[in-house]
Amino acid sequence: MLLEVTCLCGWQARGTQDEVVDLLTRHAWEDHHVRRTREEILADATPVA
Amino acid sequence: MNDGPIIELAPALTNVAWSPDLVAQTLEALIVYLAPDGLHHLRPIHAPALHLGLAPRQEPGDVVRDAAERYGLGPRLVHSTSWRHEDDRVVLTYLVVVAVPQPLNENLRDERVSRAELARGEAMAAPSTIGVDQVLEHALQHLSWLVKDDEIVREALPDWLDLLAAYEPEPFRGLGAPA
Repeated sequence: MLLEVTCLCGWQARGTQDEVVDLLTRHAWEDHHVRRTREEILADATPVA
Repeated sequence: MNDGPIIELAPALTNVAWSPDLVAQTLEALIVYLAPDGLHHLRPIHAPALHLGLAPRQEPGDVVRDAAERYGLGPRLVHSTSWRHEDDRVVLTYLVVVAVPQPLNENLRDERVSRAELARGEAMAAPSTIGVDQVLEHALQHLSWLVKDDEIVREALPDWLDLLAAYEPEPFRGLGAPA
C-alpha cells in the first residue's frame, strides 16, 4: 500500500510504507530535531482502507 | 549522546492510502481569521497552504475542521470555495474561518492577507498557474456573495460583513469594456 502523510508543519510525503517512514524520520530530525523510530512512526499511523 | 526523542512529534494530520495510478484528490484548507488590523492567513510553516489527504468515507468538511482543531484553533465556518487541477491532482479548497488564535500554534505562520488579482483562464482552459493568494482572493469573493445569499453563513460571520463588502466583484469587470 502507498501512503500519503501530512505533518502539522505542512510537509508532505508519499510512497510505500518504507519510503514514508524513511522520509518522515529524516524530516523529523532535520526540520524538527526530533528522533523517531520506525515503530513510533507506525504506531501513530492511522489505519486506512 | 542521548538517542531518545528530544520532544514528541505529534501524529500526522492525515495519513491516507495513495496511488500515482489513480486520479488523486487533495484538500486544501485556507485558514483565516479576522483581527482588528484586518484579515490573516494561518499557513503551515513548511508549505504555502495546508494540504490534506482525504481517505474514502471521510467527509472533507470534517477533515479540514478537525485539522484546524489539531492546531488548537476554534473553527467558526468551513466552506468549499473552489477546485483546481495541480500536479496531477484535483485540489478541493476549503476556506476555514477561525477565531483569533490564542496562542498561535508553533507549526503555523500568521500572515496578513493582501488583495490579489484573480487568475484568469481561457474559455476552454484553466489558468496555467494559480497562486495561493489568488485562490484565497477567489474564496473571499465567494464568501462575499455567500453572506448575502445564505442566512446561516451571514449569522456565523456577523463581524465579517464590512470586510467582505470590499470583496464583492465589480459587475462585469471580467468581461472588459463594451465594444
